[in-house]
Amino acid sequence: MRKATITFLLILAAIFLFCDAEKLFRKSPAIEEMTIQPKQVNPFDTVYAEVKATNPEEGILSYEWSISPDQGIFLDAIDNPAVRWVAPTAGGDYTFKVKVSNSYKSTERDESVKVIEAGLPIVRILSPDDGDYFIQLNEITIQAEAFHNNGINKVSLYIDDQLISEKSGSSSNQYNFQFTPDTTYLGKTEIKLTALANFSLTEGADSISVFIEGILPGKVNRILNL
Amino acid sequence: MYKSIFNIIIVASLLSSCKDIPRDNLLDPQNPNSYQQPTVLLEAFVNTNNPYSYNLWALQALDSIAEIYDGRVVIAEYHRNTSQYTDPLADPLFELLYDKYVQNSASSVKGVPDIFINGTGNRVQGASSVSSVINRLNAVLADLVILENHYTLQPGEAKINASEISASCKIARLGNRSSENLLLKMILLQRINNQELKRVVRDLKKSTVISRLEAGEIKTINFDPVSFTEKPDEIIFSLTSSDELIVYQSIQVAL
Repeated sequence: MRKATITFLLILAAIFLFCDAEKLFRKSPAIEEMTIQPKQVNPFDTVYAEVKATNPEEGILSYEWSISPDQGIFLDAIDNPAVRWVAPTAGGDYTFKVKVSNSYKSTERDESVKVIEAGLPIVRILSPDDGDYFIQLNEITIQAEAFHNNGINKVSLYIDDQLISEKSGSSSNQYNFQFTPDTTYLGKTEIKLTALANFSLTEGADSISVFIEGILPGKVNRILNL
Repeated sequence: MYKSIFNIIIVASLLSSCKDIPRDNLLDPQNPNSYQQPTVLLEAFVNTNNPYSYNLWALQALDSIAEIYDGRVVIAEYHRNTSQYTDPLADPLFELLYDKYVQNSASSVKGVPDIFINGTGNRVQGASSVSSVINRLNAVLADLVILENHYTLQPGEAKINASEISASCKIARLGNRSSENLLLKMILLQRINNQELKRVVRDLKKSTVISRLEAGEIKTINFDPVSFTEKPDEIIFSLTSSDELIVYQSIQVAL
């Protein structure tokens, strides 16, 4: 029992010796409110960010703002309690982070703002290739990728301008469609994919032409007596 | 005396020079560097007894291909039944060949028109126009006709009487390598009309398997007499692998 007390005292002594002991008993600044206005903006719009904090210790508070990903421009010094930030052209979710410090400790808080990009979604048909030939009544697999910084709302498949099917946006950006041309499709046929971006609702598209070749399907086995 | 010596010298020099004749003829099987231009076999499986145009487009495209690749391609037109349309020129023998080709192709989809190029190596199936078939065939043939080929086929004289035909063909192995497990096929064609039935296959015979053909070797294949009800107009001899899936060389002769 005595041995344990001695060990505890030794550890306590080490802490006091190697750490800033005073800091252990000091309090962090308290962030009362963080305001981001507006929370959804277009490129080049200005966002106003402000933090209200109190200091439980003596002395003044210091501030440090940052944005992630590191794009756009701060119009004010980032060590103020309030800053203005000009949104970049690239859409997406941006996270404001503020670090409020007193002489001893700091507190952080973050909040995000959405930048709505006006650019069209990028759509690319990966297969089939333009000019490929296919046989009537046999399934064609269409592989594509579609991307927008604000995400894709939906991807639609059109064959000769007729809507065939739709898929919701996928985080993988990969989309597969199946299409079986019936006897109404013959010769040069357009495959078009459109992608609708989230929020801005801008629409990107890619299209190729393939050839659907007619056949008389099947066989008659009975003549072989098999 | 001088004259005799002179004659002996002339003869001796001729003999010695003859011995050294270089075998540099590219068509000479004894020349290890010999090769031949290929003749590509196009086997079209069709059905012409239906209301659709697909098969006619394919056959018209083959007419154009025959003109474009004059002498570099030979065309055989096998008729077959489909699930809905029977063709009076179909033959179970052709269906067996078609089954074999389809089973050994990348796609197992059956349907006519279906054109196999030098066996199962290349396939053009379906048609949406004459030009679409020409374009697809051209894309394949442009590469095939410029390849070096190491077989020569030389048909012998065919003997025809009122109901039978006897034919033979020589095979020479060019180049410096031997080959194994070959088959020579004799395809009898009939020109029924000058439109879509120009090269209709009426019969198909196969040799026994040629187990080995040495470099430079020449082999004669004699086919058993084949009886017919309507006289064929042409014969295609086609050298294939023993499983018939690869066609090495072909030649067509008029009867």
